[in-house]
Amino acid sequence: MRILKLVIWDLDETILTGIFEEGDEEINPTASKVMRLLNERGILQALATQNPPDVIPAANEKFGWSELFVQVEADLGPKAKKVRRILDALGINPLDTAFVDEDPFERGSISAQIAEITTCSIADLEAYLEGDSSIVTEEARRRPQMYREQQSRTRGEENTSEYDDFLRSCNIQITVRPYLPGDAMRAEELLTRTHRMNLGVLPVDEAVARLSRPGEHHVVVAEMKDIYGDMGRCGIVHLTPDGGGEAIIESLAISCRTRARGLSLAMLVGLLSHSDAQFERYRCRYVFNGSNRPLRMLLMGAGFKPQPGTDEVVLDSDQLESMELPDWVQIDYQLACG
Amino acid sequence: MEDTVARLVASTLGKKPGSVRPDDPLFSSQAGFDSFSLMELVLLLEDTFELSIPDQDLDPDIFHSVNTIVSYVQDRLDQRD
Repeated sequence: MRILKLVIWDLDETILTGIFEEGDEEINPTASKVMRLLNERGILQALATQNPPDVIPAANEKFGWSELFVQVEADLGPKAKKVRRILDALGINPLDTAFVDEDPFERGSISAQIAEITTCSIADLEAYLEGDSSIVTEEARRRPQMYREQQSRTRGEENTSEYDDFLRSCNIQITVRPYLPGDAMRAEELLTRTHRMNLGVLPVDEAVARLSRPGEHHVVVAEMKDIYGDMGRCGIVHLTPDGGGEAIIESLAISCRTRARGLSLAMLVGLLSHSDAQFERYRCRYVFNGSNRPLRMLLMGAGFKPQPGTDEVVLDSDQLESMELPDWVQIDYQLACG
Repeated sequence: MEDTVARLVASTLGKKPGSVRPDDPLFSSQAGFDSFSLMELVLLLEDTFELSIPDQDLDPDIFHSVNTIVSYVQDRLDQRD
């Protein structure tokens, strides 16, 4: 497992000590404790159960789970299909996911069918959480809520005949501002947890250390919100001047919450257009980390050109200035206080 | 080949075949490309034409329009023959 982002629970004889439909409606106390710990740390929880769908509203009402699970899959079909649907719906990699079932057969079955997912018992997960000292930011704590808001967006999207109109109706606002000391934990989290939109040239420890190291460097963060909620700090770029008007992009991470069309590009352009980040030319290395090809596509979309014979890409600022951004995003720039 | 590339571009954008013109710039905000749809397009091009497109070729000039992609793919296929 890379970083635990999502836990997919089985219901009968895992969360519950017996079978819900047979009236065994007692929650396993260890499961209850682990669910609370996961919620406090902002780790998403979903439910995959081979109960008929009408069991879910009854269980939600009885146990007060309506705000707990970000995705529920309930039908009599194979469990692996339900797990796959949850992963697809949430856009989370199996590498960052744990499937919890007290039945070793079910765990083996999921392991055999879904490569790279971690399967474990409740006790395994409890031990993992007790030994995990990952930082927990405000954004992390709000993550389950943000995913539920994201699902509301998706439902809105499905109900809107024209996607562009839907995006315009979202009132999406990106605020770009200089990095502040209070951003340190979130910056570390963005650089650690973001895989697809992460430059990843520097090891995370080094990237984080450089943020607070004395010297001339420019760090800008972007926050995003829309009518469905506040997604908080979703993007960060760290630039170091390289003389002659050029800047090296040392770190760049953009949360995949910006996945709606055109938003990641708007965020990248917004970050580089802030007055603290303005240079004549931007240069960065791109190193494939197994999952960050979307970032390479984003760089191409922003106009970064590959430099022959190197792993560098370069962007001239005039191209940035002529970049046409979608009209459904508003970008506001805040300057440093004082 | 132009029709095939145009169809792949349209399919990636969720548009009807024939709705993307050969010279339409793919990176305009109206075209609707984002990083994930671009990645899908690259994978489709690789599968369809049995090519591997290296990072070095992820160049905005190559992916500017259907026409520029066609030129690139044609060059790559010619080199292979």
